Amino acid sequence: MKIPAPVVRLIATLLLACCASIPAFGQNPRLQIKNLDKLSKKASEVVDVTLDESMLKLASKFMAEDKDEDDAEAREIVKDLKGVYVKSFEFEKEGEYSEEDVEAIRSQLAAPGWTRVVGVRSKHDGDNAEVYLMTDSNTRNILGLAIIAADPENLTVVNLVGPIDIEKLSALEGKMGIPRMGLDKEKGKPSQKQAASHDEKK
Amino acid sequence: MTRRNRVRLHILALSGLLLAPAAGRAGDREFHAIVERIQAHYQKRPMRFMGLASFVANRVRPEGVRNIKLAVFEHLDSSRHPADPDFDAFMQEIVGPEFHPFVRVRSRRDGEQTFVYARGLGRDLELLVVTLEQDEACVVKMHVDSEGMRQWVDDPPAMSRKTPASHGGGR
Repeated sequence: MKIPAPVVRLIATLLLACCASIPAFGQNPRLQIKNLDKLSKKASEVVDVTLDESMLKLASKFMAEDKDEDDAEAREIVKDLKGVYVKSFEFEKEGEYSEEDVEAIRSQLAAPGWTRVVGVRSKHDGDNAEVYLMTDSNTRNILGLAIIAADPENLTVVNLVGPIDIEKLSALEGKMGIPRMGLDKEKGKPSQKQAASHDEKK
Repeated sequence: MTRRNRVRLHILALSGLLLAPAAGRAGDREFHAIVERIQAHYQKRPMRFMGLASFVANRVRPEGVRNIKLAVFEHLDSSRHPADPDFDAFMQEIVGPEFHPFVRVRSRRDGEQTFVYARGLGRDLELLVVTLEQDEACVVKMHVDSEGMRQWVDDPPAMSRKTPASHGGGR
């Protein structure tokens, strides 16, 4: 049986459209942060915040009813997100987590598509803040974001899945368990004050 | 008003106070199912007069929160606590698939674990907060509106610590 040419063209077009709308192969903005669970035994406090797509839909619906102008940017970000995952550890003393523990997350962020956009490390107090973005290799759309915020007694990993405007990221600081990192409201980068107080290592 | 009528009125008011939580039970099958599951697991009954405690909690509730239900378990056998890796599965099995895990706070300092699950319920968000301590457990179910939801989204860990469950059922 011969399939008519217009039907073949239609199928080909549909397939192309489908392929274009999904991220390139291997690009998954969802981090595996379960491997940090082993730190739970050492941590004095562990906080897990999970907002999956259905919860975020609910949240954005509720937030839409909130007319507070200050939350307008946060509402804008949340409505497009597909997941917010935050894991935070607080330790009683230094040295309870190792660089290898953090490297388990960083190694995932070395995968294609991820780019580090902010990296601040302080030699003085050991504070460390890194922000990574995953972009679609074809469309350059942002697919997700990861934050590693660490100091000697605290470790927080944030994973936002879905399109996000990096310039509005500061609006989410302090919300949904996301730590405050002093990101510049305008550019989603560390503020001048913070940048000045830290020594750039990389 | 005669003295006899005043006494009748007081009895009527007191009956209303005690029966009001029972009247609201019809729509709380899940809450009672969870309480029963915990009861069966630990072989312990919740504290008595929880209906009255729920009634009081609903009178002093924070903004954006309503329909609070409480159940507190005391003197639990800590050896029956599921092992750490099984806790999430244990809790998810208890609350059922309709509830989404939202916040989990585990504090080694005070040996407390708080699990918050959520589901959409019309214009409200229904939250189920389960707190497990060494020998106590508390289950709180509540409805939050947009204001309540905003507070929860703003700072989920802080809000989970503010619930009656995190304060031993508000005792």
